[in-house]
Amino acid sequence: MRRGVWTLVMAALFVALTAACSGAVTLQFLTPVWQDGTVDEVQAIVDEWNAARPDIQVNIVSVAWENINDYLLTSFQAGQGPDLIHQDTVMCYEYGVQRYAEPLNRYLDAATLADTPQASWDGVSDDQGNIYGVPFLQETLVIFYNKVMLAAAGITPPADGMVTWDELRDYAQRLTIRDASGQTTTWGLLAPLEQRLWWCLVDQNDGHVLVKHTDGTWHVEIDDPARDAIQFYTNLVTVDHVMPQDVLSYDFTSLLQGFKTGKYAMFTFGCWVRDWINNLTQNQLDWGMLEVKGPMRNVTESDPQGMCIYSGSAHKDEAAQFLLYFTNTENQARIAKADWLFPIRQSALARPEFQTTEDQWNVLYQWLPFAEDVKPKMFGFFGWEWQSFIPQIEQVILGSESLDKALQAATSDGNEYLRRMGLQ
Amino acid sequence: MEEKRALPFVAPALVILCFVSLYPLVQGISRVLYSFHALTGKSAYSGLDNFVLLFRDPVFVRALVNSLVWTVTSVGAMFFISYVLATMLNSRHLRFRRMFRTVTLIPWALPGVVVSLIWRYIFLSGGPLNTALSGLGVTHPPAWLIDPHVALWTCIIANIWMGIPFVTIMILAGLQSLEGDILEAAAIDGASYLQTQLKIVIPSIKKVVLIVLTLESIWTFNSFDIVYILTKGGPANASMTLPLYAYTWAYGSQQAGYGAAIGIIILLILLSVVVLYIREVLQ
Repeated sequence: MRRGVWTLVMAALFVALTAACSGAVTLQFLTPVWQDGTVDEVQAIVDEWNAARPDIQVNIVSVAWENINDYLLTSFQAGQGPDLIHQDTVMCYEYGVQRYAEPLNRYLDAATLADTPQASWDGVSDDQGNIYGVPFLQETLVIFYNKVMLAAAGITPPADGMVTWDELRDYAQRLTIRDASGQTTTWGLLAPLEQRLWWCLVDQNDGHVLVKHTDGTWHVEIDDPARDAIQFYTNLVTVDHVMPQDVLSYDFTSLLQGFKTGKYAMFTFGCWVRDWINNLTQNQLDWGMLEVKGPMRNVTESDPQGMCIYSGSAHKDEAAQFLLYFTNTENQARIAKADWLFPIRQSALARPEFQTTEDQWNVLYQWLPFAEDVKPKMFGFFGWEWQSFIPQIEQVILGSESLDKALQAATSDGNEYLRRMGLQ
Repeated sequence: MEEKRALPFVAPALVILCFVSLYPLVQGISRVLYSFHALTGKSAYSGLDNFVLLFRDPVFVRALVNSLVWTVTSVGAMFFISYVLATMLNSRHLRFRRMFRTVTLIPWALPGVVVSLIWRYIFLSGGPLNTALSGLGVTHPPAWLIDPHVALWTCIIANIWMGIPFVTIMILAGLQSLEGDILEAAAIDGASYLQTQLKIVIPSIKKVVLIVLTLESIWTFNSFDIVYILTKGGPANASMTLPLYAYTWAYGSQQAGYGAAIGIIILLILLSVVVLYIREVLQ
């Protein structure tokens, strides 16, 4: 018995010593991927890497999108951040500003730089040109519609799926159905505040809400085109009555159920939701997609995701090797396809699977040139948006404040917020 | 003399306590003195600016008022409902008493996040509650999570449901420790049911009641999950509470100093509750 225990102890010591002497590095890779197909694909890529590179092993750490920032901030504060981080690109930039993300310039070769559009690099770079992340996934914000309901309302969408603001409102009005008591049984449109259709409208109208001055300071300066765009959005609820107040607080599953049961004839969401609609309706619902055509230019939210390296990592060079492997043409394409999104590298984007008619990839592909990150690249943007700006818009939607008063308050409170953030 | 001899035995626990309680407290207090400046990307000493800003911040004032309403209403309702429940569960005339006691504990066995998600589903505009209300002929059921006049009360309802088991079990334990003779004597003296409860039962279980009210007040005031999941403090900050507000600044805006300042205000408020409790117990 005693001999058996000794053998086990010695074996364990041998394994530990071998691992220590082999010089193998283990990297922690934090990722919020959650859809089954994407989780499998990421795991497969990591497994392939681990098999090929016994000297650099990668360990996946999963975290939910909802609390990834909390997780990271507490980890950074404790000096224990994961080596590699998959996050929104705007957060890669923010972590860079806070010195939590490592500048990657020295790891990026000319071919990699050239294969990703400059606008995407700008989203993860500071004014000094430090690049804090590698953008690798993007999407398009679209309007999903129920084809049967549109046909019943006598609506024939244009061939390219691009509708003007007036057409969108007209569709929503014709699709909204009320019963004899005046209760709405079908809402023409649901565009949750969180999905930022209103930001796209502001950009489409060449409007400005947040302005960066030449001295680098940020200011809330809401101009008339922005005001008109926001008014168009809030009027859908308060004047046209074609969109419910549910835009303030929605539940993803209930939204999809509502689309399936005809409670909502159209709704805005990222293009990855195609898979969910198909699964939920077991491919029984005939649906299509629309994009909003801007009065000044065409813009849709791309919500890009990127990957960065923790500045406190003891293995930055090894992390960079994995990062470049994970975001190469082949892998970007694999992850994007599995996540029902688009890759950012042009070489990956050119692959035929992103232009096929199956699951309407081709429809989305034609709108990709309009996809850009509509979130201004300002440190603390999310905080400003949800703590300062959105509460004012919510008051307009609830009918408890006029748009002009709300925007006045958004300007004064917003600038106070920016001063407190050290942005003015 | 005995205290001196006990000191070496208590010392390890004291050291651990210092590490897990005092160190974070000191850290938190020290953070209040710093603010993060996004343009420079660095934290800088800002003295007591965070406290000055706090009292000029209308959302902070709103969150403070909401927190007081949330705590007083929740704890008050929890106590009242739990007292009635505990009295029923203590009654010898109740059949299946054990089963009911077990059922009462169920909400306590569920994690707060799960409870909050269940209530969120129930309260959705097209959720089961409004579907039931519509079925009963209510033409305009409340927008539980969206109406600014209702949102905080929606959170309070969920919180009461979650807090009832603990309070009920504690009061039940207190009631079971009561001597039957006292109640019989009160009945012989002609005391009404209400008089018996107010003048005999509650004073007899005063210590249990005090500890329950103190603990529930602290837990409820500090509660985060329900409001976060149900309304995120909205709409338009209508259901914002202090812990959630501290979180939004510390994590949403990465101003740990301002979040810590709110945390210290919370600490001071809760300390006053504890002081009140100690005074009552010492009396």
